[in-house]
Amino acid sequence: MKPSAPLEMAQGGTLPRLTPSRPFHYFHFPRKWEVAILSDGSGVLVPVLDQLRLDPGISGVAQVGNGTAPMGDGTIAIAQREKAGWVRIPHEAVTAWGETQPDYCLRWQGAHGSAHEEAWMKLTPAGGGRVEREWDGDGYARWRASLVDRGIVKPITAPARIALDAALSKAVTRRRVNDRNAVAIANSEQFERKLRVLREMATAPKAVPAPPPAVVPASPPPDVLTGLQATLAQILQSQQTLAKGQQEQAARLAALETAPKADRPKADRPKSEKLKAEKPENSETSQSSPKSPEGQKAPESDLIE
Amino acid sequence: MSTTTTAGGGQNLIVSAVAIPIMLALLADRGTLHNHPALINLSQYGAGKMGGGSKSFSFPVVGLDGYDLLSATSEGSAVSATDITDAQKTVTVARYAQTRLATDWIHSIDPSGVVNPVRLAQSGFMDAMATLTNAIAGLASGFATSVGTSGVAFDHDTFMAAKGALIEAKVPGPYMAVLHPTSFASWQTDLESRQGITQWKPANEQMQQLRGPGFQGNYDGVDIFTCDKIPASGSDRVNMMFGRGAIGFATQEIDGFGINPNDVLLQVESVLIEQSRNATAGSGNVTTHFYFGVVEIEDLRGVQMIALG
Repeated sequence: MKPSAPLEMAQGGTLPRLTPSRPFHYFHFPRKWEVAILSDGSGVLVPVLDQLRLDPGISGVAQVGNGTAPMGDGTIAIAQREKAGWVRIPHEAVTAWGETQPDYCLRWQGAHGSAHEEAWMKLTPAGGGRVEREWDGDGYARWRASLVDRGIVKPITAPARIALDAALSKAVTRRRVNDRNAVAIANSEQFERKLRVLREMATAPKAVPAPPPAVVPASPPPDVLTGLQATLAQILQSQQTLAKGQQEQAARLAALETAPKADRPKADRPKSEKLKAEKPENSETSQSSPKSPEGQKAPESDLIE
Repeated sequence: MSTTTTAGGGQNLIVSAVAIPIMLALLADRGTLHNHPALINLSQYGAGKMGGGSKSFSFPVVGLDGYDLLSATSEGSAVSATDITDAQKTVTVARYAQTRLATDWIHSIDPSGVVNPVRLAQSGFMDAMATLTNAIAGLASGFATSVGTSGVAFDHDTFMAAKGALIEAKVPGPYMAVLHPTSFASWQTDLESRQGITQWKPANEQMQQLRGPGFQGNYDGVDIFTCDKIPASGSDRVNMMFGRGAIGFATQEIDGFGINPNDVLLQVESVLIEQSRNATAGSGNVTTHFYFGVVEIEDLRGVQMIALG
């Protein structure tokens, strides 16, 4: 079953009974964060996202066109939200249920019109127009974490982290009062797990990021500054090579002084052969790994068992 | 002993099924929210009047009546002016409509009486109110303050946290909570098992009463409503609680252009319902027109209640 494929969706000629809905944009308010627990038990700190549906007449979404516009005009509504401090998440391809989807908002054909759902919501026909829904919580959480890694959403601030800690602590404490209430106990365990993950993240040693390898372009680009950068990189590399060569030479001389004459290496050994073997990994290795649609994986420090 | 059966003949004396004169409505959430005092009807203050000149209507929100404190000022010195903190909010009205078509033939043979213009007009009005309720419920996604967390069922602590957040933000009453039925059912389960003073509250008992969709009663001064139009966020529901001034709505008065007064079936609360005739097709239409807009007025007056839904 795929979105926007009514013939595949149909079962016995019946389109699914989906409540028609408009497209939406995701927004993030800088203060809103949560700990998402993944299916393997690990947790990740992710930004909370809210939807702005393009329903005409709601939250400043205007109605455009002479009766032909398929959706509302969200220009003013979006501007108002951004002015109030919300960050709009750009539409992009995402990974949901292990597959790449063209957008985080997908359109489905229903019996009463189009429905727009999140990419992580899998819809399966259940007969008679009914639909079963499954939610890829892990995929959604990983994508939200990637928004921070890629700089689309700024990392959580210290006050926001403290507020989240306080809210989770309060929830845990309240539930301890009702220690014989099954519902309170069950919910308490989930809040406690989230709180534990949050605190472990705060105390976990930060991974020191490895310095990026020097990038030397294959051919000098026409831009003057970029060309200068490449020249400087080449000079730096030459200096490093020279320094290494000098060190090796000194070592060889020292060996010659201590070793018997018969074991002395030949002085005419080609330098290029040695340089080749010692050349550090260059940018080719860093470019070889394919990127997922949402970019890089969440850093190790944010994924804690 | 003989058995009466149609298998032995006489099939042509009966028909396969006969419609009996009863109509049962399919399941739907028919509750409406817009009459609650926590919602501000901006049309009562001039929005959407006839000849208003715009589809959008603005109004100020100002910091008066205790918003700014006086400054300690020494004797004989001039006090500097304190600017009034203000902002402008705008509600934008849009058109929503629906038409029901019925043929002369169906109208003539329908024994239930449903397929007639007046009955369809009544249905059209309820559909219009449900549309407005849907729009109001959709605003839950816009509040910047939230309590509860994803993946955890709604419970009494989430309710108390929302109420506490509104009290901390100095929001005056009356409060209104709109919960998805799933969240409300989860809350009921928790209330049923609660200890301490919660179990002895008459409001607790009130919440357990079966009332169907819509108004469920009052708990701690908060009017509780259920509404299946509460937005989803993945596997969660974005329920909301808010005080007066969080949400406003406006409806536009409508005068049907070139409409024959005899064709107006209903005109109530800016909802215009008319009938029209297509003689060549042997059918008629009942069309509902409704022009409205909803807007979040002051963000801190509302709070999201995130819960597994």
